[in-house]
Amino acid sequence: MDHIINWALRAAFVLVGLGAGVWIFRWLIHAWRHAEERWPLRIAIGMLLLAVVYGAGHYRLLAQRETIEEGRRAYSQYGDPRRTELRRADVRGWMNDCSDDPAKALAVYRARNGVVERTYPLGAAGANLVGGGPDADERDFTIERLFSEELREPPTLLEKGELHPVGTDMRLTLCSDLTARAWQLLRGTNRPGAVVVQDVQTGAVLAYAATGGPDDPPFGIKRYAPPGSVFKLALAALWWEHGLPDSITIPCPTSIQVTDRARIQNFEGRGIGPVIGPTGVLIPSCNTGAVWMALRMREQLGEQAFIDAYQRFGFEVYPTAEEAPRDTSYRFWSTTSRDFARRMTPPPNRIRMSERTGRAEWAQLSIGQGPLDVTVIGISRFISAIGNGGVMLPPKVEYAAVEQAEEDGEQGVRVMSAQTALKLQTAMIGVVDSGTGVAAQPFFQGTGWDLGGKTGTAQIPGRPDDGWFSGLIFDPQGRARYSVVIYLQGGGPGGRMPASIGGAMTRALVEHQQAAREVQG
Amino acid sequence: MSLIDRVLRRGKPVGPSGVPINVRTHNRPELERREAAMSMPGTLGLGLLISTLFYLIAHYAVVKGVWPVHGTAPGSGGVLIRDIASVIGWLLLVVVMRAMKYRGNWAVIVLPIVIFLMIRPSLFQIFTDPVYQATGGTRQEANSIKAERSQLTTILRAYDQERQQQVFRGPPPELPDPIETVRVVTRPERNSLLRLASTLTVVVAPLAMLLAFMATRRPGPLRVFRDKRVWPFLVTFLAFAAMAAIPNVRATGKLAGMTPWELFLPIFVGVWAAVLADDAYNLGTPGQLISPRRILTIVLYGALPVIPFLAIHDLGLSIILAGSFAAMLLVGTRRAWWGGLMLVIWAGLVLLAFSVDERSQTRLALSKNPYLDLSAMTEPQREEWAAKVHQIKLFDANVLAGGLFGEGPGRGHAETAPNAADDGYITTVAAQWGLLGAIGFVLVYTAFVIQMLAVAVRERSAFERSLVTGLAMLIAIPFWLSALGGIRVVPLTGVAAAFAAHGGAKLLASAVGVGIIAGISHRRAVEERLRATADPAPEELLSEQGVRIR
Repeated sequence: MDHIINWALRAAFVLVGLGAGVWIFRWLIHAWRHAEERWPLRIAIGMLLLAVVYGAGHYRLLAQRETIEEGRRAYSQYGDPRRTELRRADVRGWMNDCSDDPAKALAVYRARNGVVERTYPLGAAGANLVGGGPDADERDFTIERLFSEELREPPTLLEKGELHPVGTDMRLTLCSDLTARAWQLLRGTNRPGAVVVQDVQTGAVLAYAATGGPDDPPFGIKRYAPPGSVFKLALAALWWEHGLPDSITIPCPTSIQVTDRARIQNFEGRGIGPVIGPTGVLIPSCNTGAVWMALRMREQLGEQAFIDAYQRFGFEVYPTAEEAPRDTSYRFWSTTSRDFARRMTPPPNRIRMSERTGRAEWAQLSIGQGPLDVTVIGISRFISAIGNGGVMLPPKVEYAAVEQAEEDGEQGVRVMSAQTALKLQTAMIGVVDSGTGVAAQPFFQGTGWDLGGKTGTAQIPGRPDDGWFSGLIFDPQGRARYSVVIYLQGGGPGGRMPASIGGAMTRALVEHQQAAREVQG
Repeated sequence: MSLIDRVLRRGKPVGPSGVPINVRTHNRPELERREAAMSMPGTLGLGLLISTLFYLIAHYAVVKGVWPVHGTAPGSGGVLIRDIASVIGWLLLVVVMRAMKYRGNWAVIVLPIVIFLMIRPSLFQIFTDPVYQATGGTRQEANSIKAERSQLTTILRAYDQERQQQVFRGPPPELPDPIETVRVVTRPERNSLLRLASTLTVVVAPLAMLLAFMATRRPGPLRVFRDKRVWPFLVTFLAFAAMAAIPNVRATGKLAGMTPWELFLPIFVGVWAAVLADDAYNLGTPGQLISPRRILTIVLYGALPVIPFLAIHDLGLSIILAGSFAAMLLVGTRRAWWGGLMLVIWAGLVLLAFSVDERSQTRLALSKNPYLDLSAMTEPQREEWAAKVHQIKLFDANVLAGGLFGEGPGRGHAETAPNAADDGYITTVAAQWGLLGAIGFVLVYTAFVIQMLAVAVRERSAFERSLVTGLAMLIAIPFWLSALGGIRVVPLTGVAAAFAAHGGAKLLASAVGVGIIAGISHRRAVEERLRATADPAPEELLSEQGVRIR
């Protein structure tokens, strides 16, 4: 009833105005024909023109909505009672987690001492993506901030007519238990870093935990890190994509002389001896073997083959520092929010390489060192593509985007052949079974699930090594289901702390699956 | 009987043809009743009916939909009673005017009532808002309590039991009410007799209009005013000067928290009309103008508009008076060059004011681009400019909140803008009724102004014509200044529109002005009717007047 009254009153307002408009025209036409006194009539016409000016002026403000809103935002720091009141009074939609269970929601309202407040049960664990946590107001890169319009959007037309409409709930792909566990593990290392878990078949981000804050961009999405040996996966993919022999013997000595002045060593100076094919290089993460592969492929395939393949795998190749790429297409995520796309699009994984790149630098790049920058989410997308049979999907944080992709039959982009992807998956399982990632094994033993991965240790002069673990989690049927990427700045070798976290996250995922099955059952 | 008469079935004239005679009213009661019944156009009656229903339902919507959510200000019940009394007053005015056989332009009477009825519900919501009346730190506190209450009521309305349980984990907390916080700070204001009197102008305005009509529907009082114009001018001018001389009034433009200056304007306009009327012919003839006495009179009275700016630093009032004087000169003399000359002089003075007066310069800059780049300023500069932008940015927010269709009665949160019921009333209209509603309202107001000018169009006497034009412009110019100022087409001048915005003195002065215009219109209609009766068209004589005697 209230809504009918509301609309009826608005209609009456316009109706009376319309009647007045018609009357004005009729009177003016009549008066122009018959009136003797012209000047009052001319002034009257002037009044009508002013009405037109008013209409145009009012419309102009509406047309400049974005500029004005931007101005208001800039000036709101000096007081904006409207904004303050509406923000304090608003009842935004809840942010449900992947289970859509309100009891596990990531952003809710709770009464505390008689006052209702927006609460974020994840606390600091969700601070760098969901919202809440310390300095929440300073973080302009959270879903709470970037989806504020969507969360405030009334769900129905009737609700829209309310004085204070309630917002629309939003379901995220993030799972509260997995994110909390990821954060717990990350905090346990006492190192800056990030943990990202993705569903390889949908691109949904199931867990995201990252250190950082408003003045210290969190690792995960907005900050570059050197990938270390994780990049060897791309090198191996290139090898297999060009049909180079799988059973070839590759030397893996302690070190390899690349030029007269440049020499590349294996991690901790270990010599392994000859290994068979790229799989043999990946399992022990043999630097010298990777350099041998890179130099041979350069000779055999040429530089352009590298450039084309790396571009396909999601690494932007640029020739000089001045031409470093920036993502301005904002297509990294599959999202309904333009704000999220603009603010959260990570800088592109990038590699500086050209035909003029020297032999030493070429060798360095093959083991993930040198002018090579990646983000954790960027690597996660690449690893997910390997798990998805070589098809790369855009990551998603909104469940609606996952549903939409299913509805649309999202094809993704094939970045490598299914065969290459399978070979990489096998090699990654080998890494955890018997290679540098064995530290992960104890965590998921006996679950029936399996973990494959690639460790990475990036050496930065003057500080402890950065550690990576990029893994794929396989279900009991042997299908790759999830990717898990861990990066720890100064966290030491990737085969230690990062691999352990990878194992622990595998365990958490298995438990999460079991809990979900129990709820469904 | 001619063939045409036969076709049209005209009856044979009764009695022999002769000279026309005027049959007095009491001798033809039927015709008189019919005329009286037909005197108000049906469209106006319909408009009045719609707007009355609108007024009542919109008030109901505010009381039912907004009060429980936001809470109310102290004295809100009184405001509701006052609003009910005022609508009764306005409707009674129409009834009394009909009973008094008003023959003038009904639009002049009805349209301001329609405007009042359309806008008042919006102002009612603002006046009864718990925060709008609060001041200083209390405002912030009341704002917070109001927001808290709004959030709770929204949750209680929109969430189901299960979700409410998740939020409250027990019984919901009691709704906080900001009323007590505000009651304390607004008590002195609410207890002030002067303030009380100013709020009662809403109820008194219909009576003022009626009295002004009654005083001017016969030529006597206006003739006396015209002949003895120096006395009312001196009394008014001295009163104005005395008030302006009170300490602090010059700086703030306010006397005991009110702005009574508008009450003086109809007198100044009347005096100027009288001056013009005396010399209307001579002023229209360039050769006749060259007389020291004439030039001195024109310069003396014509310079009146500069007084408000010099005395109380009120540029808006000066512009209103100047614009009205220019329009009167134009209409009184029927010479465009006069109007042009005055407009050029006044436009020059306004430009001068904008180039030397800091407050006016700021207002101009605010209308052009309020959102200056903060990064190009130092912190003190930022704070200073942000304080100036404060009102404008909230007016803009109101306009944007309304969008195309508005948010509905009492909605849109227009009350968060300072002066949303005064300078920024048009942005309140925009927030609640949207672009379409605001244009509709502007058209109704335009129709009202045009109908006042229509009275001037019919007037043959230079004094009445100038007076009506001047009074119409006293209402029209503030309306346009405030309407266009609210949307930043022109700088804000601090003036508000009669019948639409809050402002007791303005409402009273405008009601008196409209009453005078209605009186003049009525007199003209009666005179024309008598002339028509005295010199009827042959057909009228046949059909209505009855006997023709040769």
